[in-house]
Amino acid sequence: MVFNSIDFAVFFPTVFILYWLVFGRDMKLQNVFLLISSYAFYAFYNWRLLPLLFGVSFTAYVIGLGMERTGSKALRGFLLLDGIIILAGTLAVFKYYDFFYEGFILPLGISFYIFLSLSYIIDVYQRKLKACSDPVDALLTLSFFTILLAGPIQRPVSLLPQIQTKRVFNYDLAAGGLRQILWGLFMKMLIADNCAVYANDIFANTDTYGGSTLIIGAALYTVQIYADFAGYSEIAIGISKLLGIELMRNFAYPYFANDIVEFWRRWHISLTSWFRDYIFLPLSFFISRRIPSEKFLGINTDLVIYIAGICFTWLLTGLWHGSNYTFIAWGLFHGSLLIIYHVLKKPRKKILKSLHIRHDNFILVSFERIFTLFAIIISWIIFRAEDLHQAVSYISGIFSSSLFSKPEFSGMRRINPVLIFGMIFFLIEWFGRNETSALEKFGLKWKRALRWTFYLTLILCVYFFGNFSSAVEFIYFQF
Amino acid sequence: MKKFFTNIFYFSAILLTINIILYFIGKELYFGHYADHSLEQKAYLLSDSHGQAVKNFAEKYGVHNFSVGSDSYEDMYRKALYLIRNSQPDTIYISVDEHSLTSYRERKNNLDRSVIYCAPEDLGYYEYFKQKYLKHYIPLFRPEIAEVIKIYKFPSDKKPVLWASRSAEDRINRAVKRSSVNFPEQEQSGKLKQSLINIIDLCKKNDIELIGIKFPLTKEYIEAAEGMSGSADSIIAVNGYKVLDCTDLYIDRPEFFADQDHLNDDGAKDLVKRIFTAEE
Repeated sequence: MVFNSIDFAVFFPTVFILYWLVFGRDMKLQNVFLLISSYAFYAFYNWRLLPLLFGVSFTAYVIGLGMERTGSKALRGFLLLDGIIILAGTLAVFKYYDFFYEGFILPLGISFYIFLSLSYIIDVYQRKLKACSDPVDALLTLSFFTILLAGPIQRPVSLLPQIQTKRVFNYDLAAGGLRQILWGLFMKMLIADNCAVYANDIFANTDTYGGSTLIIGAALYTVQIYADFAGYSEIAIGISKLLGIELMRNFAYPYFANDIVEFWRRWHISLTSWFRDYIFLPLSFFISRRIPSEKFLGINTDLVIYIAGICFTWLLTGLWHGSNYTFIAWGLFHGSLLIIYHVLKKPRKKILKSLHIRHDNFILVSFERIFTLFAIIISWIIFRAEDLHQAVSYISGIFSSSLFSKPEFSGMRRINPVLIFGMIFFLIEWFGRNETSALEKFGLKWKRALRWTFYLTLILCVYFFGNFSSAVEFIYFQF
Repeated sequence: MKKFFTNIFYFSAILLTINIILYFIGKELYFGHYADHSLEQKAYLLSDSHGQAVKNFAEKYGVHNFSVGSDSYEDMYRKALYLIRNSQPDTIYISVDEHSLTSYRERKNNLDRSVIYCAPEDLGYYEYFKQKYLKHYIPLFRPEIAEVIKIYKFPSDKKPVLWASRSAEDRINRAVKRSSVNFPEQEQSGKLKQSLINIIDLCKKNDIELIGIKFPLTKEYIEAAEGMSGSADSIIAVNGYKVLDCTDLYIDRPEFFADQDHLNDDGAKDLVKRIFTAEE
């Protein structure tokens, strides 16, 4: 069941009404009801995969409980290792089996809910979180339906306490949630799915189109993947707010980033922070303990640690997306950009100082933003390509003499509404960039009639200009 | 919570008003012609736009035209079931054109509308409720209504050009373009093939004579689509039913066509006369 389906439009209001009006007085009942709803939500997609979801979350629950109850540090470590092997092994089997056997079906959301479970056992091991003894609360934390299919990869350390506390209906939170749902639907159905039509065509015919068309295709995919995934996250966060649960932010206007480091602080925050906290930092700490000297092979040790940590983390980040060399290349490309940025950081400061240019100089910032965005667009080509050969051919197609030819692709005459809505979309995002969601406070000071007219206009724009083709799924469902 | 529900109520009331307006517009524009049918005849023609071009010219031969542009075999199966449930047909004429089993037809169909001919057991109760009632009475859940409204608001101001009056080059170009739309790839649609087999089984079970028709095509289109075979006709023939192959009946009569693969009124009148008088 996807958020933008009729099924969900039936499912969620029913859950919402029962959750608050029938079970609202008893937190235990509320949690049991939410857990059943979460399983029903997942079973609607494929009930045969429900045991997998249950198995993963139950394993994490039992291991967490075991670690909590034992006084032995060695046993805790042993249990943690067991948990990591079982959970990561399950993920690896389902995710990478088609490296060897094509046609293997990837269970929807598996990367997301296994990472959630991994967070849980690691946090319990590190005593950041007390293991939950109540099976309903624990299983609900690890299978909560709003985050099940494509995140955000919520940290149990912030979700579990909310599950264990009685939720009180909060008008502002719920109204904000509704606005986020509306904005998410606008992003997904109007922006992302319309861009997808043209991006898919251009990526499918790489060899026939000239450089100018290819760059448009790449730019459209850049908008598509953001509006698709950030739109999904907005809806997931909005729905959770309606149930009185606050999730972590997953996107913070990443395309407005000045540099690549900032981009990754703003893009898929729940995943990047997961890799930072559970892979990069522990790995860097581990390496630093093993290289006591200040220089390693003549290079500053800090730099060596950074490069090793980044390379390994980004290799895993690429692999997390799936069993395709393009994802590995994409991960390593971003890793390289981060290393280059890190290496050039100090020389850049020195050069700017010697030239008496302020670091927030408008021209400099604009140039850096454009350069960052261009690097990101190139990375999305690698990410979107069917294989490395297509990625290389696409990128070399852009940097050819045809880059200056007149762009031409099928359906080009119908693209104007997409461009107009795209501009409106980025304008609203720009004005709302200081809030956690673009619509969070947009128009809140307007009179109600005007504000509601604005919301209705958004709904009607989605209705009349959105792309409702069932073929356009949320991109991150494939991961 | 009271404030929230009050606001939701008022906002929903506005949405409901919009919904009611869309419902009445959509009912007329989207369903109007699709739901038009008669159950008085004993013979029915099931087809897509190729059969729709025949209009009601076959009525005088006792054949009711139940065709609508873009109907796929899945839609036709639903209609066949509906006919069997509500009347006693003795003959069903069905189009077996080459493009009938392509992925293009699988994608472009009328499943959204032909649901009105379904019974709960055809779809399952939840799907039936969703398709027949939720989507029907809440057009905000049916984006196709938005599409027809957009088309209605901005109608094309181009006047139809007779096929015969087009230049030879224009005809070839159009035929090639249309053929590439109709045949995106060579593979058959498994879904549509199964639906056609279901129709055949249904006719066998209910002792209904099934007759396949391959509608006439222009010379240019036949040449453009050469080698593209859907084999729907052979599926019918293998099951012991007759196929009337009219593909090249008007190969030298461009004046009988509205475009590269659709008859005009003159062509349609001539075709029904030939088919149904011969059948009689």
